[in-house]
Amino acid sequence: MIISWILVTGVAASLAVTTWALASYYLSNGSALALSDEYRVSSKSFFDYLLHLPKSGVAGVMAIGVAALMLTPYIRALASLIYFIAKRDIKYILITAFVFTILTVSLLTS
Amino acid sequence: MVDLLTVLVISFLAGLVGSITGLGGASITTPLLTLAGVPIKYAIAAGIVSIIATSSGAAASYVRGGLSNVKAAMFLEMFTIVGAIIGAIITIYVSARLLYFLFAGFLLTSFIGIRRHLGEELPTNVNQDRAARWLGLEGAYYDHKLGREVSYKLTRPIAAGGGMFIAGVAAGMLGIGAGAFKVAVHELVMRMPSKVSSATSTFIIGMTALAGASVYFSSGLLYLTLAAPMVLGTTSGAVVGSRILGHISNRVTRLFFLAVVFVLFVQMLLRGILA
Repeated sequence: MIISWILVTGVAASLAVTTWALASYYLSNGSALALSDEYRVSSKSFFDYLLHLPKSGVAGVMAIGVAALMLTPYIRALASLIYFIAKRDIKYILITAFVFTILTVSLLTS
Repeated sequence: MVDLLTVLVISFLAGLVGSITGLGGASITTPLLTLAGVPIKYAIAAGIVSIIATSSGAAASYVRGGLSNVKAAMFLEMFTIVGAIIGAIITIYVSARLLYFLFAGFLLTSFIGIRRHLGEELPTNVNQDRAARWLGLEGAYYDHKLGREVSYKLTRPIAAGGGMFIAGVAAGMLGIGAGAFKVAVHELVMRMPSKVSSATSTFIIGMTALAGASVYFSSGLLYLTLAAPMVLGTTSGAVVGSRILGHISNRVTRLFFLAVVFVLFVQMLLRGILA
């Protein structure tokens, strides 16, 4: 049930922020989507991107929405690991720890 | 220049179809956005982020309803994530044309495999092997269509892990969820009921996509103006799709799956020939 709650909360937060960002974008720029540097994501890794999110403007709000979405399955993996630790299920502790480690490495180094 | 409403409509439909079939959605959004004038690499980058939305939106409902088998998903994710990373590395060295043909080939195997089991509403006479018993791979869910609780047992998780590794490689290579192949592995190897298969595939795809999407944060191919409306559209579509899935029969789910896979197969084959 905690997994479902994490997924719902993550998606709802991401949706709310993204809707707000798109409404703001539409009001200030119209319906044509700009593929410009202002809205381009370029960073060393996802975690590096998190540390250097655009500080203001529509691009900043959009970035928060996308970041919230990216974090949702990552937190889900962490919650699964904590759940199996609490249940002292050694088999699934090892399985989820492996998944969580691989994900962390990919988000740190890509 | 692409229009906001166009992207929203395309991604809503992709989220809806992806959720019902377990496909993930990017297989649908990428070609449609390309037709709408978006460069293919930008479409792939935004598409893989939107897969996370499709997966998480639908998976929340499936987990709550007991349709996703979380233990099976966690076990299979080990293989698919490693496969996705290896697949992304392979992509650097092979041509786009080869990728299209590989994609078409892998869709064809899924199509043939699922078609053989079209008449089977639920798997019967499933004998769990030692590994499946050791991992505790079984479950139950309430089937609204049948009007009763369905209990099931899974088998051959190690062989399925091999299949999921291949699915992960395909996902990493092609920037998709590879849901079609995952669903086929679940049903044909593990003998998973069709609805559980779609729901578990949707659950796993988000994790595979997260590993793939992380690459695009450093590639310079990801645009927030594409990703944001795709996130909104696919999530909305996925939530609607997940509510529909529980009320339709496994046979209808499979027929829908086959129709979508066939269209994608033809599309990939044509793109391979024309590339």
